[in-house]
Amino acid sequence: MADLRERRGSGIPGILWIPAGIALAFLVLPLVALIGQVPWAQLGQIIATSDIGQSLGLSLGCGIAATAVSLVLGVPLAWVLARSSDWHPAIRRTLRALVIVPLVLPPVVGGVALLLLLGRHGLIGQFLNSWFNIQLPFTTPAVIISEAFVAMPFLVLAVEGALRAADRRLEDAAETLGASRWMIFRRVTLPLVAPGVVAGAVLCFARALGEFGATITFAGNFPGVTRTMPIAAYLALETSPPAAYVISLVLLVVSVGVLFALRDRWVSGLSS
Amino acid sequence: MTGLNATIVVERRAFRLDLALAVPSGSITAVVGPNGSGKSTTLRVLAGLLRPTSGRIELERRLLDDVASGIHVSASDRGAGVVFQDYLLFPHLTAVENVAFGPIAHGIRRKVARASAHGWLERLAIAEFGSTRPAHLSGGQAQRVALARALILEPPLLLLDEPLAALDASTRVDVRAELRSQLKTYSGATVLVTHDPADALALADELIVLDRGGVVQRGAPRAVAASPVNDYVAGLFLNSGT
Repeated sequence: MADLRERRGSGIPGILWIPAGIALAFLVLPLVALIGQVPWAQLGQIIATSDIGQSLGLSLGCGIAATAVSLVLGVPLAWVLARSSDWHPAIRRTLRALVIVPLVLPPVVGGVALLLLLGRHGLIGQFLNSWFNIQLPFTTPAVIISEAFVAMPFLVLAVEGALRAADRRLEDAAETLGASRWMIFRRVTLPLVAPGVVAGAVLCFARALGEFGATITFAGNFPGVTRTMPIAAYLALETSPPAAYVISLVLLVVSVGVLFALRDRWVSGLSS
Repeated sequence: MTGLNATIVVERRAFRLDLALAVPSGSITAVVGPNGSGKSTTLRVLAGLLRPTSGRIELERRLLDDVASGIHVSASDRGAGVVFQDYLLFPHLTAVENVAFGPIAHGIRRKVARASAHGWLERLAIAEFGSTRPAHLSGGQAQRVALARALILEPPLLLLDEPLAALDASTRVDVRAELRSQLKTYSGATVLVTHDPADALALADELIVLDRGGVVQRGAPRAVAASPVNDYVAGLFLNSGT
C-alpha cells in the first residue's frame, strides 16, 4: 500500500510549487519578523513597567465573560437551528443567515450598530438610560457585549454541527426508558455534543480575545476599563513600539495555545 | 386476553401500513419482512415514538393509543422496553450506567439504581464488563447490555428491533440461542422485528410476514415455513441467513 503510494508520486504540477511557497511564506514571515523584533532582554522590565498586565487581565476577563454569555445563549440557539427541520425552509435559511452575519460583517460596523442599539440615544439604550440610568457604551460590559456579538456565531455553528452529527436515535432510546426532555438534554444529548461545545467555546474565546474593531467603536479605549490587549498593542505602536511587540507576542502565545487545545481530542466534534 | 392488542394503520405518501397484533403475555410474536415492509414503523408505533394514523393499542388493559378518541401515551410514559437495532447504548456511559439509566429516569436513587443494574448484568453473565464503555464491548456483550437496560424496568411489553442484525454470522447463532434462554424467563409480551426468518423460527410463537405494509401470512413459524402462501414468503425462507 505504502509502496503504491510512493510510486504514484504527489501529482502536484510543478508550477503550483511557486505560489504555494509564496503563500506559506506570506503567512509565516510576519510572525517570524514579530518574534525577531521582540526585545527579549527587556521583556521582564517592559511587562513590569507598562500596563500590559492590566490589559491582559481585562482581555482575559472579558474574553471569558463573552464566552460564557455565548455559551448560555448560543447553545440553545444552536439547538433551535439544528432541530428546526420541520420549519419552513425559508425561515430556517433566514435564521441561519442572521446568525452568520456577524461573522462576515466588518467588526467596526458591528460596533456602530451596537452603539445605535445600546447607545444613550439608541433603540434600546435610550430606555436603559431614562428608566434605569444605565449607560453601556465605553464601559467594561460594552467590551463583553462587543466581543460576544462578534464571537458567538463561531460557537453557534460549532455546536449546531455537532448536534446535526449526533445520533438522534439515542434520544429515542432515552425516551423509551422514561427520561423527560430535560433529562435527555442533560444526560444524553449534551454529553454527546460536548466535544463540539468545547471546540466552539475555544474558537469563540480566541475570537473574543482578538476583538478590536467592534470593541474600540462601542467600548472605546479607557485604560483598565475598556483597553484590551489588541487596542493596547495598537496604541503602544505609536508611543513605545517595544511594548507593542511584547503585547503582540503575548497574544500570539495565547493564540498558539488555543491552536494546541484545538488539536486535542476534545475537538473531534468540530470535524464531524 | 392480557398482553398486547393492537391495530395499527400508518399512512405516508405512497405507503400504508395496516397490521393487527395480539400478543399474549409470555409469548413472542415475530414480524418478518424486507426493508421497507413497515416492520420498523410498527415497532416505533408500539414504542410510542410515532403516532399511528389510525388504530388502537392496548397493553395489559391499559389504553396506550386510540386515535379515534385522541389518546396517545408518550414513549417516556408507556413503559415499553426496547432493544434497538445497533443497540443504541449511550456511548458516554459505562455498561452499568446504561442499564441504570431507566431506573434513574424514574426517580430511583442513583446508588440503588446502580446496584440493581449490576444485578441485571450478573443475571446476563456480563457483570465483569460493568465499567466498560459500549465502544469496547463485543456485539454479543452489547446486545446483553441493551437487553438488561430494557428489562430492568420490568416492562409489560418488550420490543426487539433486529436484535441480531449487528452481529457477524459466526456469533449470531450463539447469541440467538442465548437470547432464547434469556427471553424464557420474561413474563411480558414480546414483539420481535427481523428481516431474518431464522430468528423467528428460533424464538417466536407466532410469525407475521409483512410486505409493503400488509400482512402476507401469519401463523406458527414452522407452519408458515412448511407451507408458504406464495413465492414471496417461500423466498424469504430460502434466502434466510442461517
